[in-house]
Amino acid sequence: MVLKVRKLCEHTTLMNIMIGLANKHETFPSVLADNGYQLDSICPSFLNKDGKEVNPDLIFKSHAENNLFIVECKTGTLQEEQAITYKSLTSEEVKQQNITTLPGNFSLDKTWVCIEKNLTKVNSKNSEWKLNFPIVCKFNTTLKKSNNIPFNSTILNSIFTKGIDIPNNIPTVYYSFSPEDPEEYILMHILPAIIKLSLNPHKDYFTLEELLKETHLLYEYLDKNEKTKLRKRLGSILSYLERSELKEFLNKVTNTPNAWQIIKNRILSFRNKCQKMIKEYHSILQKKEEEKKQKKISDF
Amino acid sequence: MNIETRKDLSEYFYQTLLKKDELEEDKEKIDIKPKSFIIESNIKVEDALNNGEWTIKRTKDTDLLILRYRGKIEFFLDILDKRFWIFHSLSPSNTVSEILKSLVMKNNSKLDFIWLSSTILEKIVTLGKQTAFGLKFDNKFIKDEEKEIEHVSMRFWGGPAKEIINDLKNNPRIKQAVTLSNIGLKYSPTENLFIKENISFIGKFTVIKGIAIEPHFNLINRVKDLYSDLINKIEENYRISYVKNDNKISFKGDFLLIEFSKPLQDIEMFIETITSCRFPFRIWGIWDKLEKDYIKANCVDLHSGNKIYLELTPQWMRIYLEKNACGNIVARLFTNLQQFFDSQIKLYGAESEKIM
Repeated sequence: MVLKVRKLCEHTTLMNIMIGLANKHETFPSVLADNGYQLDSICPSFLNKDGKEVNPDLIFKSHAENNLFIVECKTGTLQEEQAITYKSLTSEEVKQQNITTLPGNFSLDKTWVCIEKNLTKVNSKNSEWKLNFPIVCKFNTTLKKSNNIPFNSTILNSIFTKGIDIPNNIPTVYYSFSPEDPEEYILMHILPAIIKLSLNPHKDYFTLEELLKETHLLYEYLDKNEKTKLRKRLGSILSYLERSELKEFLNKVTNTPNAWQIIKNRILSFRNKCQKMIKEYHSILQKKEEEKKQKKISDF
Repeated sequence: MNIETRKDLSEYFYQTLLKKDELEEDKEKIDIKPKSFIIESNIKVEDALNNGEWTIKRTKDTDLLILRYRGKIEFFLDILDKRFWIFHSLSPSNTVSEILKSLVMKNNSKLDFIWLSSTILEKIVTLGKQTAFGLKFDNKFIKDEEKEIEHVSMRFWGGPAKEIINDLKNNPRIKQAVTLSNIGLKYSPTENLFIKENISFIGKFTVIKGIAIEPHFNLINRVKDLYSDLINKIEENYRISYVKNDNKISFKGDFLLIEFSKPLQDIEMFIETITSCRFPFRIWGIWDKLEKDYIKANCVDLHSGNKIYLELTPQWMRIYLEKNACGNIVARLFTNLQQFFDSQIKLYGAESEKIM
């Protein structure tokens, strides 16, 4: 039996699912869009009344419902201070920060979205820190509200209480990747970016910063911490590749830190090598999954 | 003949339509008919033709250039429309096609043919009276030679061209392969003028006969406008990016969707074929299976150097273009999938709007 290999990390998966729900198309449920919700902003950063920074992942808005829906896609890490700041956020504060185009007095909904694996932890912190957030969870193929705390918006209540069937083919482009994604998945973004930069006739080399901008759709807009994490992750992947699998293609530029020579005239062989590499990574991931499964069986 | 203006060019081409006894005494009969190509461009002429094989001569008209390839083959280049150039020539058809193909094919050439899908060619037919059609289908994605159509090539001349196409399309055994590769058209913009010509799916216009040359230029421009509207629509609505206004970052653009008329039998072979840098797709791409029957491919368009992202299932393929991507990639991909895979595919935009 071939085991299913996880290709996207939880954060990337949840971000893409949530944005996907607000886009009308037949290939993916568009339940937020169908009910008048639009993506208002992604990864906004603003201050609350006490001057503390708030960085939710996504904000959706509905003019019909006069409601702003703030979403945090939660993976393993939960921080109390951040959660309390998020909880105390009011619609007045949001309005004062000029981050939404929703006019007048709107209602505000805040939620944590997580996957089933993290649900117990998320629920327990929700109670322990007295947050009272409605928690939305992605179970195997359904996205559903998993506690009894209601949203202010009747539409959101109805959508997430009923649950949404999530197909396997989630759109993956809205949120490129997170630093936590598997190497193979990040490579899928780095390698075309190297080719794009190599096709620039006015350049002989590319830098890590140029590559980061080309690799991640949101890079320019991410906060400093996230940028640093991505820079570290991509830097280490590139350093590894230039010493190993791609050493015949990637050459560091001497005297210029974090810069590589462009790929000249070997576009096709570079492509075939990259594709082979992706396949090999897939096999390695699959082997690891099999080992994990074997271990579970022997532990039992 | 010395060409200095568009009028000179028009007169020069007009001579080719005349019989020997209709020519003025000092004029020689030219046997080869005019042919013209619309070429999509994202580059300046001087940069596109700087490989030492081309010489460029200016005329009195700043948007009309006379080009010579390796000192021999003459072209007249109309760059009035900076995005869609028109190459005219009286040289032999195969020679002209090969020269332009090699010019366009170079990686990152920033030049491309226009790609007239079967759907667009059927629209163009309505501009005049259809006199012929050619079908060409060459299955590059074949899995089962005994069950699937491998190759279709057909040329038909005569009045009931449209009816014959419809009959073929209604035949379930062959409809997958009924892809127009060229059309013959009698075009009469006014009662007294007409031209007969062939238009191929890569935007090649070949004059057959006529009583005036003006309809030839007029037809080229009408097709150019039709195609340009399609590309503009794609570029305005279907390029994705994030934009920042004040504190707010929002998502802009939508994806396009190609829907297959029957499920793909082998999605790995399909994606490998279109992403392995080969002509005509010209896509550099790497792909990975995210789920059973769900593949993601991150690609670069070798014509423009911009990124595109594909998500593929046996039933459909999502296409995302990055900011500044050239919309021609969509027409190229769609038209060639019709030529080499399935003539019945459809292209949809946001909210299931049918685009082609």
